[in-house]
Amino acid sequence: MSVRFLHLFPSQLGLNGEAGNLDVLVARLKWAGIDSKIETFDGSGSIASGYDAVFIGSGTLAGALEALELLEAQASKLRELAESKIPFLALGLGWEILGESMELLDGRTVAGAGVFPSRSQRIAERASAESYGYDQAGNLTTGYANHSSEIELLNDSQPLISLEAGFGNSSRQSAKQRSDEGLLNQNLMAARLNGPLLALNPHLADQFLAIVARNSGFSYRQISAEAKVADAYAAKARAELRDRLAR
Amino acid sequence: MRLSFAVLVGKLIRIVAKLRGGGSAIPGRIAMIVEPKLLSKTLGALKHGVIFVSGSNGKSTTTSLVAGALASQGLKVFSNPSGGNMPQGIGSAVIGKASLSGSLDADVAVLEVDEAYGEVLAPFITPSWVVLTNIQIDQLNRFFEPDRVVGMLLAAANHATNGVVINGSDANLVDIGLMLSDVPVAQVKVSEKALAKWPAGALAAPRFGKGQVINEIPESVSVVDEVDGVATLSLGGVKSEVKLPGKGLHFAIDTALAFSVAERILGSSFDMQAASSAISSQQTVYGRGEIVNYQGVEIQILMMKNPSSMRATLVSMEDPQTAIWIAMDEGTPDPSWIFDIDLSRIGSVRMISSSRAWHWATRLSYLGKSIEQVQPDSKQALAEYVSFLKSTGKRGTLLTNYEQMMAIRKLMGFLDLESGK
Repeated sequence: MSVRFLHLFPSQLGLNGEAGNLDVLVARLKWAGIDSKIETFDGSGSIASGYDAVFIGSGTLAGALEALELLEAQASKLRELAESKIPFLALGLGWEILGESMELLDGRTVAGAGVFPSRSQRIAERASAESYGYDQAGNLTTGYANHSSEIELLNDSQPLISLEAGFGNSSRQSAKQRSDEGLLNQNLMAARLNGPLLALNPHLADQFLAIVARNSGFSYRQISAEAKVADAYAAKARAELRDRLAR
Repeated sequence: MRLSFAVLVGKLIRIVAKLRGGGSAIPGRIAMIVEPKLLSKTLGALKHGVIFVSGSNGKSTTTSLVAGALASQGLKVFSNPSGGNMPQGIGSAVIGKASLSGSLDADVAVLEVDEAYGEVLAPFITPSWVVLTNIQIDQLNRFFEPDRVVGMLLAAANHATNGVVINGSDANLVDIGLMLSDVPVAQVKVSEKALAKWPAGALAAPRFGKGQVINEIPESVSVVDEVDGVATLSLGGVKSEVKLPGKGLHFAIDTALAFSVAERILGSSFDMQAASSAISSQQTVYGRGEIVNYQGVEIQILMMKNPSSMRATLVSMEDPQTAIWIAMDEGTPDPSWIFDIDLSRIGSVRMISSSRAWHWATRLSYLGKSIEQVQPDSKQALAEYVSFLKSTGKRGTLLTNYEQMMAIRKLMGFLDLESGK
């Protein structure tokens, strides 16, 4: 078994440790005895079939808008992959351009790729803060929020994480739903926290890999000695952040 | 009259502040209440005015290189010690050097200016020249996106009365150069050969959504090549070799920027040979490769600020087999970028300390690197690290963020933090 990842726009959307998330997925699969390979799409040519999972990271607004333009002809292909239950993991602005639509600061609304049941509105206010909360299974989840928009979840999507401090799907200080972070809807997973998210929160990496394994029909169990070491360090990094913020 | 009174008051407060220890901006703040035009009346009166040096990285190095290059041409140079970005901090430095009549014995001033402070400083002092080093992926928690820094530096450059000098290998700065219509712009060109040896994206943040840009900005001094800390620079076809403050193309670019602004100021009387000799004998800027002696052991301090500077640091690290100590605290609010760096030059790590220690340990464990010790407490880490160096006779290498560098220097008893003594 070799898992095939499609990494969308690594150069346009790879601002801040984003590739680290894929490194984590690849390492954890390897530790479980499963091979994987990453193929990239940066706008030239067309997107093929046969992938086990799709990843898109975050970046600058200019990088994201360039990626969105380059994606136009391929959006229907991506929707097709998502409808056939291929797992997608999207972060930050990568998530926003794969949503239904993005409203820009000048009032224009641009259509997203329509993969994720969500839409976003860019706002003037900026969030920049360490954040922590708990995922649906109650695991402490931490990261760094650095964004400037409000994302609305559609079609029964659930937030991936419920935050106790920091900023989630809204960058507004006054937002009521600031605690909702990310999206989970069957094979679709999205989040905004940096960290990188999956390095600091291996429970989310394993949750995503479990979705990939179920869809592609292989078994994934993470019981390696390597993961035990890395996960113990990540747990201390999370605890340090929470304890410091909760003080 | 008001100026001399302001300088006198400032000097008196400075003496008191020094006795009490700290408060370096206070003399400037008070003097500028007495004379709000303190900076323009002192620095602004200099023959060649004030040079602002700004950009994401290399500001301190370039400021010291510009000062060195101009001094090599016989000019008297006033410069601010690193860190004094605020008008009041610069005011304090001016008061320290000014005569009681308020005049400075200098022909030109060189100021290191934080990316966000060009606009803050401009109402107090208009730059004659602005030198821009680069725009990198840097302090995203504060600047959010490199594009925002483009706007800040463009605004600062727009204030220049005589000219702007940019690093022409940075697409962001080329864009700024092309947007400046009222002020002459010159660029440092870097040869394809020199650029090809450097990891992609290591020098500047990528620029999106601009397509192909035609860059016909006039050239000044250019970078032909950099090999092991020696640069070959060229001006009008005449080449000169310079021993740089350290290894790496970024040092060659910073030096070429310094020579370029000197060349723009002095015109045909600029002597590149004299500038090259002066820079070749200049000492390493504090915090970038400096070796400290502490309790009989040698520790090289290498600062890591952002992915670009970290890559440059790793390239210039002389002995990858040295005992490495990594120290980072929440002064780096979002350390995600440590996952973007090729750490293959690091073999094993002796010590990781401070509040980001667990973050680093996570990263290194994904790379399969061995970690001898994780010690969140800096004081404890220093004691244990030094005792290890003593027992093995090894030299140490400390990779650290700015905040931990200051904290650890203080623990070592280097109290005069600004001069690095």
